[in-house]
Amino acid sequence: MPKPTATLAAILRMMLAALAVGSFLLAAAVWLVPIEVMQSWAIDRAPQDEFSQQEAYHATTATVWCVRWGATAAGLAFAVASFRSRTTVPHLVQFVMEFWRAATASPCSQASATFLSRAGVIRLLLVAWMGLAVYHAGVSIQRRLWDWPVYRLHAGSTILPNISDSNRDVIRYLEATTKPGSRIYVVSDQKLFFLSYYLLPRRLHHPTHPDSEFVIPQAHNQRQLAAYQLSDLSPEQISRVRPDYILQYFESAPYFADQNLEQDSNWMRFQRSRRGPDWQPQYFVDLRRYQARGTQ
Amino acid sequence: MIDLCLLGLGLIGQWSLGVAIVLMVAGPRVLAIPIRGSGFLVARAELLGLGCVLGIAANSYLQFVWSLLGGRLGFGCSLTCAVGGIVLGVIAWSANRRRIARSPLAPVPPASVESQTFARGCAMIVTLLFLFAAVQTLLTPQKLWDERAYYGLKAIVLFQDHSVLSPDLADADFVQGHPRYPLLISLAEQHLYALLGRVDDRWSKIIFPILYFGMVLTLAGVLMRHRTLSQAWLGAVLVATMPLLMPDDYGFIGGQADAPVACLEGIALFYLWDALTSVGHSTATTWRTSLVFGSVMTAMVVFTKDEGISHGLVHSIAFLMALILIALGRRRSSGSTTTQGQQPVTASGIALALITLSFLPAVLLAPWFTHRRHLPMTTEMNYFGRLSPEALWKGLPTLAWSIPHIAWRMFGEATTWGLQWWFVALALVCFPRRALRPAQLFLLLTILGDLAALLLAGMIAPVAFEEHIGGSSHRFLMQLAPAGLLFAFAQLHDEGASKPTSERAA
Repeated sequence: MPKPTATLAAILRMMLAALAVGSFLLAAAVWLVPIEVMQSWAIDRAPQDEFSQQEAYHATTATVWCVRWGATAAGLAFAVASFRSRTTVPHLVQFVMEFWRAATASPCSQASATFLSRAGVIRLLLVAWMGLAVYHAGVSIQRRLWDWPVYRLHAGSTILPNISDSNRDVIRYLEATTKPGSRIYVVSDQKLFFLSYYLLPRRLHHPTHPDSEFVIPQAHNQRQLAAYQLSDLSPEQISRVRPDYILQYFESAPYFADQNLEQDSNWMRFQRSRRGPDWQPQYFVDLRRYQARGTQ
Repeated sequence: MIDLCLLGLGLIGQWSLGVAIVLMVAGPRVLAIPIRGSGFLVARAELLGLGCVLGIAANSYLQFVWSLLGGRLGFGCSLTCAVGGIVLGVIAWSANRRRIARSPLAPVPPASVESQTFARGCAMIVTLLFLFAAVQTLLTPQKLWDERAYYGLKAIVLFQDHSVLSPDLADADFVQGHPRYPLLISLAEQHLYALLGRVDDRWSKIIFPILYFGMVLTLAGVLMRHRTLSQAWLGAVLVATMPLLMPDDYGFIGGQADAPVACLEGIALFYLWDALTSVGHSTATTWRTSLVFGSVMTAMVVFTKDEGISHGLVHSIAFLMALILIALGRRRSSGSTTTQGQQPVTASGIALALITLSFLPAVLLAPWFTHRRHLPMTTEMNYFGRLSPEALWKGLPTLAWSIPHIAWRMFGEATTWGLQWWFVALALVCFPRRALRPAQLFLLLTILGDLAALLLAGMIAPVAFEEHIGGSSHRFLMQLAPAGLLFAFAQLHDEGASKPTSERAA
């Protein structure tokens, strides 16, 4: 075996052994420390609101179980590879050497690929590339573990992910009060794509105001969208859609300044049954059955 | 449990349909690259990879045409597609084996043991990355804006209404984003809902990691024709480990259209690059087949997202320019044939390429564009309608913001999105002459043309350009990333110095 290859083989042998020992030590530590200790540790560091506390608790539980089994499996795999180093290490050496050869720009020779040569710079970039890939894989695993408390294995319609609380409440209200397959005509200052998505097979129709057609909304209604109100629309425009219901849903104050926020008693009852009897509306929701001659 | 078995059947049927199409178009060329000891995945990377992608695209396309003709979408249609795909795949596979038995393929110089070890290792890494992507995909329901508003919503309507002619999808007031966006993704999701028998926006996302796997294997397969086995699989691992493609949330683990566009546009460019690299070589009669795959994929990019129209136009023009350059270069350097076994690219060859690259996508896309005319324009940007000298003049000042922004996205945010644009820049600076080869020039012109198209969109879009370009440039750059990788990687290795392991006499 040439000298560089022998050195590489020795390094790889040592790395395999170190990884096996490290994985077993990590596994032992995570199996031995009670999970409650780690849960309390995470909860102490999380923000004090209920959601964050719950998220920290469940994410830590998921992380601990993943590390327990992952580190044990990795330890076993590295140990087997280490014990069978006579067969595994030559393969690893071949793999590394061939990576180095394939990453060498031709016609640059191996010898000319010094650190500052063209080939050297490109090899360095490819090594950084692999490092970055490993880092991003780790970040994504962490992200999934923190998603787990909410997402678990649910479909989107169960958890309504990544939408505002108000949108979520309106979706649940419409699900509870309208039949599947209903046609709902909506006037609103919101972009209603998510309502439409989660309320299917109920069909939402919404006259888009030309001034808000290409406006990108911002979180917490920081940008007010132009919207039609019911009084702006003719009965023909509405009846064309053959709706079963009319929904008025506005979150920007100018659109509901003259309205009684509590005028839809079903909405109030629905929200207070979920949020408590003291719940006060901050935005306007009014759902009515549509009658062909008007909206009342 | 039965629903998941049916879903599995649907996925196998899709893949099998894709394999059947590849075998019918390409024959034994891609079936087996006889590298002894390298394993099933390495030897059949191109067939398996292209089969995955083409299967999903063909399945959606066939269901679209069927529905447009008045057929009913749903369980029956999807099950027929699944079973039909499997039957077709088996028939094509056995017919191909018989064809190989009748006329055995020419022997290929064996790859070195080191190369085989490396290729097997890379194939294992790629497979693990696919599983990693698939698990992450199944751990997240659809949660981003585009995937729900533009594609997922249409998929559910198609599933519930059993037709692309749903009156709601044609209603200007029905709440949906971009009513005129193409339906490849929505139909692929609908296919899985139909087999599952319910809407579950977690399972419908499984098509995206499959596209990822398909793209990576296809690149490995295409590169194996022009580079050594090890170089080809290093290229495959590099494309598989670009963070913006995987595991970024907007990449292949999400349900957005940008990653599928990256996949389909990437494969279209891989094959057009392959055609330009092979054209005129007496030992390689593959360029026409590659041209056909490139053209079909061009059509499928357009059927995935509207950006596909600009991608298709740009790379078709760049391809024809490169082909003319080859023809002119060969005519100047020799009379009829060169000493290296190259044959001249004739006017009829250029005409054939022109016809294939324009006629095939036009025929395939005719049903979609006919249908699209009846769809509403609500929230559509209508770029072509807005394109005028006045609008361009008025939009010129936007370039002062958008050019530095895109440059920053490409190079300044490399730790977030990946090092691919640094790789492109380095490969260009280190080997500038190689970039003038027609195949390389084709990729470079395509990337530059697409970037110009993005700047143009920022100039004429009816949205505040900082938000429009700022919010989408990383996704647009994702669509170009596979082409960038191929360009940079092909720059590194002089084809003459790399010994193709899969070159075979047809």
